[in-house]
Amino acid sequence: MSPDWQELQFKGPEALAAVAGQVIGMGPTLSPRVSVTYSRTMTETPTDSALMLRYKDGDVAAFETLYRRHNNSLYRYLLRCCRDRDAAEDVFQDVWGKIIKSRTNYRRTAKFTTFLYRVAHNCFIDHVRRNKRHLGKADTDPDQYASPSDEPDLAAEKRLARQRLDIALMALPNEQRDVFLLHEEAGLTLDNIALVTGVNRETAKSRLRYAMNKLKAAMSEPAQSLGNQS
Amino acid sequence: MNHDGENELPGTGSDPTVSAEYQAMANERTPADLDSAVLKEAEAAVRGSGLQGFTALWFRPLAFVASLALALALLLENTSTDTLLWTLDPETPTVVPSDNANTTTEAEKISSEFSEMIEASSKRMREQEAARDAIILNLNEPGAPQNFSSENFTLPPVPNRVTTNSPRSCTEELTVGPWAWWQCISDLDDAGRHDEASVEMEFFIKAYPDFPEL
Repeated sequence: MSPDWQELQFKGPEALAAVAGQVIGMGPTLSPRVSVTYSRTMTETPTDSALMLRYKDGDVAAFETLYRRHNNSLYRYLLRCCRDRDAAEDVFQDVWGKIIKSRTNYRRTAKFTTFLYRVAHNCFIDHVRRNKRHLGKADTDPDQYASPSDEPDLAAEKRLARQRLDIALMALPNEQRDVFLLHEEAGLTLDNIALVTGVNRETAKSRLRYAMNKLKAAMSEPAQSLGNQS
Repeated sequence: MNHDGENELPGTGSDPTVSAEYQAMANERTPADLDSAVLKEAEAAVRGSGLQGFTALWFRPLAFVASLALALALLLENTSTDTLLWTLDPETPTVVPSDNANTTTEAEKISSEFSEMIEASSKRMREQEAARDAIILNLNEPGAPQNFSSENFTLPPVPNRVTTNSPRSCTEELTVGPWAWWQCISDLDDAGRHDEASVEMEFFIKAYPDFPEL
Protein backbone atom coordinates (compact mmCIF):
# COMPACT_ATOMS: atom_id res chain seq x y z
CA MET A 1 0.00 0.00 0.00
CA SER A 2 1.67 3.17 -1.16
CA PRO A 3 1.94 5.88 1.45
CA ASP A 4 -0.29 8.87 1.28
CA TRP A 5 2.43 11.40 0.52
CA GLN A 6 0.15 14.36 0.70
CA GLU A 7 -1.05 13.50 4.16
CA LEU A 8 2.43 12.58 5.33
CA GLN A 9 3.84 15.85 4.10
CA PHE A 10 1.46 17.71 6.33
CA LYS A 11 2.02 15.40 9.29
CA GLY A 12 5.55 16.59 9.69
CA PRO A 13 9.11 15.33 9.40
CA GLU A 14 8.80 12.41 11.78
CA ALA A 15 5.96 10.79 9.88
CA LEU A 16 7.75 11.42 6.62
CA ALA A 17 10.93 9.88 7.94
CA ALA A 18 9.15 6.78 9.13
CA VAL A 19 8.05 6.02 5.61
CA ALA A 20 11.13 7.39 3.90
CA GLY A 21 13.27 4.74 5.51
CA GLN A 22 11.12 2.02 4.07
CA VAL A 23 10.86 3.58 0.64
CA ILE A 24 14.58 3.95 0.08
CA GLY A 25 15.05 0.34 1.07
CA MET A 26 16.95 0.80 4.27
CA GLY A 27 14.02 -0.26 6.43
CA PRO A 28 14.74 -0.63 10.09
CA THR A 29 18.47 -0.01 9.63
CA LEU A 30 17.80 3.68 9.13
CA SER A 31 18.30 5.19 12.56
CA PRO A 32 15.67 7.61 13.77
CA ARG A 33 18.17 10.47 13.98
CA VAL A 34 19.32 9.95 10.42
CA SER A 35 15.81 9.64 9.12
CA VAL A 36 14.69 12.80 10.87
CA THR A 37 17.74 14.66 9.59
CA TYR A 38 17.09 13.29 6.11
CA SER A 39 13.52 14.44 6.19
CA ARG A 40 14.41 17.82 7.67
CA THR A 41 16.96 18.35 4.95
CA MET A 42 14.38 17.56 2.34
CA THR A 43 11.52 19.53 3.79
CA GLU A 44 11.79 22.29 6.39
CA THR A 45 8.37 21.68 7.85
CA PRO A 46 7.30 24.22 10.41
CA THR A 47 5.72 23.12 13.67
CA ASP A 48 2.01 23.44 14.31
CA SER A 49 2.55 26.35 16.69
CA ALA A 50 4.70 28.16 14.15
CA LEU A 51 2.00 27.76 11.53
CA MET A 52 -0.64 29.02 13.91
CA LEU A 53 1.47 32.05 14.74
CA ARG A 54 1.95 32.73 11.06
CA TYR A 55 -1.78 32.48 10.57
CA LYS A 56 -2.21 34.92 13.43
CA ASP A 57 -0.11 37.34 11.37
CA GLY A 58 -2.39 36.85 8.38
CA ASP A 59 -0.81 33.96 6.50
CA VAL A 60 -3.81 31.96 5.28
CA ALA A 61 -1.60 29.42 3.52
CA ALA A 62 -0.07 28.54 6.89
CA PHE A 63 -3.51 27.79 8.23
CA GLU A 64 -4.26 25.57 5.27
CA THR A 65 -1.11 23.57 5.94
CA LEU A 66 -2.06 23.26 9.57
CA TYR A 67 -5.60 22.26 8.67
CA ARG A 68 -4.46 19.57 6.26
CA ARG A 69 -2.31 18.03 8.96
CA HIS A 70 -5.16 17.52 11.37
CA ASN A 71 -8.42 17.55 9.48
CA ASN A 72 -8.77 13.84 8.78
CA SER A 73 -7.76 12.63 12.21
CA LEU A 74 -10.00 15.18 13.89
CA TYR A 75 -12.83 14.20 11.60
CA ARG A 76 -12.45 10.53 12.49
CA TYR A 77 -12.28 11.38 16.17
CA LEU A 78 -15.52 13.34 16.01
CA LEU A 79 -17.16 10.81 13.74
CA ARG A 80 -16.64 8.07 16.28
CA CYS A 81 -17.46 10.27 19.25
CA CYS A 82 -20.71 11.60 17.84
CA ARG A 83 -21.56 8.33 16.07
CA ASP A 84 -23.45 10.38 13.53
CA ARG A 85 -22.00 11.85 10.37
CA ASP A 86 -24.07 15.03 10.28
CA ALA A 87 -23.42 15.79 13.92
CA ALA A 88 -19.72 15.10 13.44
CA GLU A 89 -19.56 17.55 10.54
CA ASP A 90 -21.35 20.23 12.56
CA VAL A 91 -19.03 19.83 15.51
CA PHE A 92 -16.05 19.68 13.17
CA GLN A 93 -16.94 23.05 11.74
CA ASP A 94 -17.56 24.45 15.22
CA VAL A 95 -14.13 23.32 16.33
CA TRP A 96 -12.30 24.93 13.46
CA GLY A 97 -14.42 28.04 13.80
CA LYS A 98 -13.21 28.39 17.39
CA ILE A 99 -9.62 27.75 16.37
CA ILE A 100 -9.91 30.46 13.73
CA LYS A 101 -11.42 32.93 16.19
CA SER A 102 -8.73 32.21 18.73
CA ARG A 103 -5.93 33.14 16.36
CA THR A 104 -5.68 36.73 17.63
CA ASN A 105 -5.06 35.53 21.19
CA TYR A 106 -3.06 32.42 20.36
CA ARG A 107 0.11 31.90 22.36
CA ARG A 108 2.52 29.02 22.29
CA THR A 109 1.71 27.78 25.78
CA ALA A 110 0.80 24.21 24.94
CA LYS A 111 1.19 21.77 22.10
CA PHE A 112 -1.19 22.70 19.32
CA THR A 113 -2.62 19.19 19.07
CA THR A 114 -3.53 19.25 22.72
CA PHE A 115 -5.18 22.62 22.25
CA LEU A 116 -7.07 21.45 19.17
CA TYR A 117 -8.42 18.30 20.76
CA ARG A 118 -9.28 20.09 23.94
CA VAL A 119 -11.47 22.41 21.90
CA ALA A 120 -12.88 19.41 20.04
CA HIS A 121 -13.62 17.56 23.25
CA ASN A 122 -15.41 20.56 24.71
CA CYS A 123 -17.40 21.11 21.53
CA PHE A 124 -18.43 17.49 21.61
CA ILE A 125 -19.54 17.81 25.23
CA ASP A 126 -21.55 20.92 24.34
CA HIS A 127 -23.11 19.06 21.46
CA VAL A 128 -24.10 16.20 23.75
CA ARG A 129 -25.71 18.60 26.22
CA ARG A 130 -27.62 20.38 23.48
CA ASN A 131 -28.86 17.19 21.87
CA LYS A 132 -29.47 14.85 24.76
CA ARG A 133 -32.70 13.64 23.28
CA HIS A 134 -31.11 12.64 20.01
CA LEU A 135 -28.21 10.67 21.36
CA GLY A 136 -27.80 7.01 21.17
CA LYS A 137 -28.27 5.29 17.91
CA ALA A 138 -24.91 4.54 16.43
CA ASP A 139 -24.33 5.00 12.76
CA THR A 140 -22.83 1.57 12.56
CA ASP A 141 -25.40 -1.11 12.19
CA PRO A 142 -24.14 -4.58 12.99
CA ASP A 143 -26.42 -6.05 10.32
CA GLN A 144 -24.60 -4.13 7.62
CA TYR A 145 -21.70 -6.47 8.08
CA ALA A 146 -23.27 -9.26 6.10
CA SER A 147 -22.17 -12.74 6.86
CA PRO A 148 -18.99 -13.62 5.07
CA SER A 149 -18.43 -16.38 2.66
CA ASP A 150 -18.73 -19.90 3.93
CA GLU A 151 -15.02 -20.48 3.77
CA PRO A 152 -13.36 -17.39 5.27
CA ASP A 153 -9.83 -16.90 4.15
CA LEU A 154 -7.25 -14.77 5.92
CA ALA A 155 -8.34 -11.51 4.30
CA ALA A 156 -11.96 -12.10 5.14
CA GLU A 157 -11.06 -12.96 8.69
CA LYS A 158 -9.10 -9.77 9.00
CA ARG A 159 -12.00 -7.82 7.63
CA LEU A 160 -14.30 -9.38 10.13
CA ALA A 161 -11.94 -8.58 12.96
CA ARG A 162 -11.95 -4.97 11.94
CA GLN A 163 -15.69 -4.93 11.76
CA ARG A 164 -15.90 -6.38 15.24
CA LEU A 165 -13.44 -3.75 16.35
CA ASP A 166 -15.57 -1.02 14.87
CA ILE A 167 -18.73 -2.30 16.50
CA ALA A 168 -17.00 -2.78 19.83
CA LEU A 169 -15.57 0.71 19.61
CA MET A 170 -19.03 2.15 19.14
CA ALA A 171 -20.25 0.11 22.06
CA LEU A 172 -17.59 1.39 24.46
CA PRO A 173 -18.62 3.81 27.17
CA ASN A 174 -18.15 7.40 26.05
CA GLU A 175 -15.21 8.12 28.35
CA GLN A 176 -13.28 5.05 27.25
CA ARG A 177 -13.94 5.63 23.59
CA ASP A 178 -12.89 9.25 23.97
CA VAL A 179 -9.58 8.31 25.55
CA PHE A 180 -8.95 5.60 22.98
CA LEU A 181 -9.60 7.97 20.08
CA LEU A 182 -7.42 10.69 21.55
CA HIS A 183 -4.66 8.15 21.83
CA GLU A 184 -5.08 6.77 18.34
CA GLU A 185 -6.15 9.73 16.26
CA ALA A 186 -4.49 12.64 18.02
CA GLY A 187 -1.45 10.69 19.18
CA LEU A 188 -1.62 12.34 22.58
CA THR A 189 0.31 11.11 25.57
CA LEU A 190 -1.53 10.09 28.71
CA ASP A 191 -0.69 13.39 30.35
CA ASN A 192 -2.18 15.35 27.47
CA ILE A 193 -5.19 13.06 27.32
CA ALA A 194 -5.76 13.77 31.00
CA LEU A 195 -5.46 17.47 30.29
CA VAL A 196 -7.96 17.32 27.44
CA THR A 197 -10.52 15.22 29.27
CA GLY A 198 -10.12 16.94 32.60
CA VAL A 199 -9.17 13.91 34.66
CA ASN A 200 -5.95 12.82 36.30
CA ARG A 201 -3.34 10.71 34.57
CA GLU A 202 -4.21 7.49 36.34
CA THR A 203 -7.86 7.73 35.41
CA ALA A 204 -6.96 8.37 31.80
CA LYS A 205 -4.59 5.41 31.85
CA SER A 206 -7.23 3.12 33.31
CA ARG A 207 -9.82 4.15 30.79
CA LEU A 208 -7.41 3.53 27.96
CA ARG A 209 -6.45 0.17 29.37
CA TYR A 210 -10.04 -0.92 29.71
CA ALA A 211 -10.89 0.28 26.24
CA MET A 212 -7.96 -1.63 24.77
CA ASN A 213 -8.85 -4.79 26.61
CA LYS A 214 -12.44 -4.70 25.49
CA LEU A 215 -11.49 -4.04 21.91
CA LYS A 216 -8.92 -6.77 21.92
CA ALA A 217 -11.44 -9.18 23.31
CA ALA A 218 -13.94 -8.17 20.65
CA MET A 219 -11.41 -8.69 17.90
CA SER A 220 -10.60 -12.15 19.17
CA GLU A 221 -14.17 -13.34 19.36
CA PRO A 222 -15.29 -16.00 16.90
CA ALA A 223 -16.95 -14.90 13.69
CA GLN A 224 -20.36 -16.28 14.68
CA SER A 225 -20.76 -13.68 17.36
CA LEU A 226 -20.86 -10.84 14.82
CA GLY A 227 -24.20 -9.14 14.95
CA ASN A 228 -24.83 -10.03 18.55
CA GLN A 229 -22.71 -7.17 19.81
CA SER A 230 -24.50 -3.84 20.23
CA MET B 1 -21.20 6.57 33.54
CA ASN B 2 -18.56 6.09 36.20
CA HIS B 3 -15.92 3.52 35.63
CA ASP B 4 -13.55 4.52 38.36
CA GLY B 5 -14.10 1.18 40.00
CA GLU B 6 -12.29 -0.45 37.14
CA ASN B 7 -9.08 1.38 37.80
CA GLU B 8 -7.50 -1.58 39.56
CA LEU B 9 -6.87 -3.55 36.37
CA PRO B 10 -3.13 -4.13 35.95
CA GLY B 11 -1.18 -3.93 32.73
CA THR B 12 -0.11 -1.26 30.27
CA GLY B 13 -2.43 1.30 28.79
CA SER B 14 -2.14 0.61 25.11
CA ASP B 15 -2.13 -2.46 22.92
CA PRO B 16 -0.18 -2.36 19.66
CA THR B 17 -2.37 -5.03 18.04
CA VAL B 18 -5.51 -3.06 18.61
CA SER B 19 -3.80 0.15 17.55
CA ALA B 20 -2.57 -1.39 14.32
CA GLU B 21 -5.98 -2.78 13.48
CA TYR B 22 -7.63 0.51 14.25
CA GLN B 23 -5.17 2.45 12.10
CA ALA B 24 -5.81 0.08 9.22
CA MET B 25 -9.55 0.41 9.65
CA ALA B 26 -9.87 4.15 10.18
CA ASN B 27 -9.48 5.66 6.75
CA GLU B 28 -12.29 8.19 6.62
CA ARG B 29 -11.45 11.60 5.22
CA THR B 30 -13.19 14.91 5.52
CA PRO B 31 -15.60 15.70 2.72
CA ALA B 32 -14.27 18.20 0.22
CA ASP B 33 -17.11 20.65 0.83
CA LEU B 34 -16.35 20.66 4.54
CA ASP B 35 -12.71 21.43 3.82
CA SER B 36 -13.56 24.31 1.56
CA ALA B 37 -16.05 25.73 4.07
CA VAL B 38 -13.46 25.78 6.84
CA LEU B 39 -10.75 27.24 4.63
CA LYS B 40 -13.09 29.94 3.41
CA GLU B 41 -13.92 30.84 6.97
CA ALA B 42 -10.23 31.02 7.79
CA GLU B 43 -9.58 33.32 4.88
CA ALA B 44 -12.55 35.53 5.69
CA ALA B 45 -11.36 35.90 9.27
CA VAL B 46 -8.05 37.25 8.07
CA ARG B 47 -9.33 39.45 5.28
CA GLY B 48 -12.09 40.80 7.41
CA SER B 49 -14.87 42.99 6.08
CA GLY B 50 -14.41 46.61 5.20
CA LEU B 51 -13.17 48.62 8.10
CA GLN B 52 -12.32 45.63 10.22
CA GLY B 53 -10.07 44.26 7.52
CA PHE B 54 -8.43 47.59 6.96
CA THR B 55 -7.89 48.03 10.67
CA ALA B 56 -6.40 44.59 11.08
CA LEU B 57 -4.10 45.14 8.12
CA TRP B 58 -2.88 48.60 8.98
CA PHE B 59 -2.97 48.58 12.76
CA ARG B 60 0.62 47.54 13.27
CA PRO B 61 2.18 49.86 10.71
CA LEU B 62 0.17 52.80 12.01
CA ALA B 63 1.05 51.96 15.60
CA PHE B 64 4.73 51.84 14.63
CA VAL B 65 4.55 55.20 12.86
CA ALA B 66 2.69 56.74 15.82
CA SER B 67 5.35 55.47 18.20
CA LEU B 68 8.06 56.98 16.05
CA ALA B 69 6.25 60.30 15.86
CA LEU B 70 5.79 60.37 19.62
CA ALA B 71 9.45 59.61 20.21
CA LEU B 72 10.43 62.36 17.81
CA ALA B 73 8.11 64.83 19.49
CA LEU B 74 9.56 64.04 22.90
CA LEU B 75 13.05 64.38 21.55
CA LEU B 76 12.33 67.75 20.00
CA GLU B 77 10.65 68.98 23.17
CA ASN B 78 13.71 68.18 25.21
CA THR B 79 16.26 69.68 22.86
CA SER B 80 17.99 72.97 23.73
CA THR B 81 15.97 76.17 23.12
CA ASP B 82 19.02 77.82 21.54
CA THR B 83 18.34 76.06 18.29
CA LEU B 84 14.71 77.12 18.25
CA LEU B 85 14.84 80.76 19.37
CA TRP B 86 15.33 82.14 15.92
CA THR B 87 11.95 80.77 14.89
CA LEU B 88 10.03 82.19 17.85
CA ASP B 89 10.46 85.95 17.63
CA PRO B 90 10.17 87.54 14.19
CA GLU B 91 12.34 90.44 15.33
CA THR B 92 15.32 88.32 16.18
CA PRO B 93 17.92 88.06 13.51
CA THR B 94 17.27 85.09 11.29
CA VAL B 95 20.61 83.50 11.76
CA VAL B 96 21.04 79.86 12.49
CA PRO B 97 23.30 79.43 15.51
CA SER B 98 26.71 78.28 14.53
CA ASP B 99 30.22 78.19 15.88
CA ASN B 100 30.80 81.80 14.75
CA ALA B 101 31.66 83.99 17.77
CA ASN B 102 29.33 86.89 16.80
CA THR B 103 26.24 84.78 16.38
CA THR B 104 27.01 82.95 19.60
CA THR B 105 27.01 86.20 21.53
CA GLU B 106 23.66 87.26 20.05
CA ALA B 107 22.21 83.82 20.64
CA GLU B 108 23.31 83.95 24.25
CA LYS B 109 21.67 87.34 24.64
CA ILE B 110 18.42 86.12 23.13
CA SER B 111 18.54 83.03 25.25
CA SER B 112 18.97 85.01 28.44
CA GLU B 113 16.12 87.35 27.54
CA PHE B 114 13.90 84.41 26.83
CA SER B 115 14.82 82.80 30.11
CA GLU B 116 13.96 86.02 31.96
CA MET B 117 10.57 86.14 30.27
CA ILE B 118 9.84 82.56 31.28
CA GLU B 119 10.94 83.22 34.81
CA ALA B 120 8.78 86.30 35.17
CA SER B 121 5.78 84.46 33.81
CA SER B 122 6.35 81.53 36.15
CA LYS B 123 6.65 83.86 39.11
CA ARG B 124 3.32 85.48 38.28
CA MET B 125 1.67 82.10 37.98
CA ARG B 126 3.10 80.96 41.29
CA GLU B 127 1.80 84.10 43.01
CA GLN B 128 -1.67 83.59 41.58
CA GLU B 129 -1.75 79.96 42.67
CA ALA B 130 -0.60 80.87 46.17
CA ALA B 131 -3.31 83.47 46.47
CA ARG B 132 -5.93 81.03 45.29
CA ASP B 133 -4.77 78.33 47.68
CA ALA B 134 -4.80 80.76 50.58
CA ILE B 135 -8.38 81.70 49.83
CA ILE B 136 -9.57 78.13 49.65
CA LEU B 137 -7.83 76.99 52.81
CA ASN B 138 -8.39 80.12 54.84
CA LEU B 139 -10.94 79.88 57.63
CA ASN B 140 -11.62 83.53 58.12
CA GLU B 141 -12.51 84.99 61.46
CA PRO B 142 -15.34 87.42 61.29
CA GLY B 143 -14.09 90.87 60.55
CA ALA B 144 -10.90 89.71 58.91
CA PRO B 145 -11.42 89.83 55.15
CA GLN B 146 -7.74 89.15 54.50
CA ASN B 147 -7.14 87.86 51.01
CA PHE B 148 -10.44 88.94 49.65
CA SER B 149 -9.03 92.34 49.09
CA SER B 150 -6.25 90.86 46.96
CA GLU B 151 -6.08 92.27 43.50
CA ASN B 152 -5.76 88.83 42.04
CA PHE B 153 -9.02 87.51 43.39
CA THR B 154 -12.20 89.38 43.94
CA LEU B 155 -15.49 88.16 45.16
CA PRO B 156 -18.73 89.59 43.96
CA PRO B 157 -20.30 92.05 46.34
CA VAL B 158 -23.38 91.12 48.26
CA PRO B 159 -26.05 91.50 45.66
CA ASN B 160 -28.92 93.83 46.27
CA ARG B 161 -31.41 91.21 45.29
CA VAL B 162 -30.80 89.34 48.51
CA THR B 163 -33.84 90.65 50.30
CA THR B 164 -36.52 88.75 52.02
CA ASN B 165 -39.39 89.18 54.32
CA SER B 166 -38.09 86.44 56.60
CA PRO B 167 -36.00 87.59 59.54
CA ARG B 168 -32.29 87.37 58.74
CA SER B 169 -29.83 86.00 61.22
CA CYS B 170 -26.51 86.82 59.61
CA THR B 171 -26.98 90.43 58.62
CA GLU B 172 -23.69 91.59 59.98
CA GLU B 173 -21.68 88.74 58.46
CA LEU B 174 -23.21 89.45 55.08
CA THR B 175 -21.25 92.60 54.74
CA VAL B 176 -17.99 91.14 55.96
CA GLY B 177 -17.60 88.49 53.31
CA PRO B 178 -18.67 85.02 52.24
CA TRP B 179 -16.50 83.13 54.68
CA ALA B 180 -17.93 84.99 57.61
CA TRP B 181 -21.39 84.44 56.26
CA TRP B 182 -20.62 80.72 55.81
CA GLN B 183 -19.35 80.51 59.37
CA CYS B 184 -22.55 82.16 60.62
CA ILE B 185 -24.68 79.62 58.82
CA SER B 186 -22.60 76.81 60.28
CA ASP B 187 -23.00 78.26 63.77
CA LEU B 188 -26.77 78.47 63.33
CA ASP B 189 -26.88 74.84 62.27
CA ASP B 190 -24.75 73.74 65.21
CA ALA B 191 -27.02 75.66 67.57
CA GLY B 192 -30.04 73.79 66.30
CA ARG B 193 -31.49 76.78 64.47
CA HIS B 194 -31.92 74.79 61.28
CA ASP B 195 -34.72 76.87 59.80
CA GLU B 196 -32.73 80.05 60.06
CA ALA B 197 -29.67 78.29 58.73
CA SER B 198 -31.68 77.05 55.74
CA VAL B 199 -32.92 80.55 54.95
CA GLU B 200 -29.43 81.94 55.12
CA MET B 201 -28.07 79.08 53.03
CA GLU B 202 -30.60 79.76 50.34
CA PHE B 203 -29.49 83.34 50.05
CA PHE B 204 -25.86 82.34 50.27
CA ILE B 205 -26.13 79.97 47.34
CA LYS B 206 -27.75 82.62 45.21
CA ALA B 207 -25.06 85.09 46.09
CA TYR B 208 -22.06 82.80 45.79
CA PRO B 209 -22.93 79.80 43.58
CA ASP B 210 -19.24 79.05 42.98
CA PHE B 211 -18.23 79.07 46.62
CA PRO B 212 -15.58 76.33 47.15
CA GLU B 213 -17.30 74.68 50.11
CA LEU B 214 -20.41 74.07 48.01
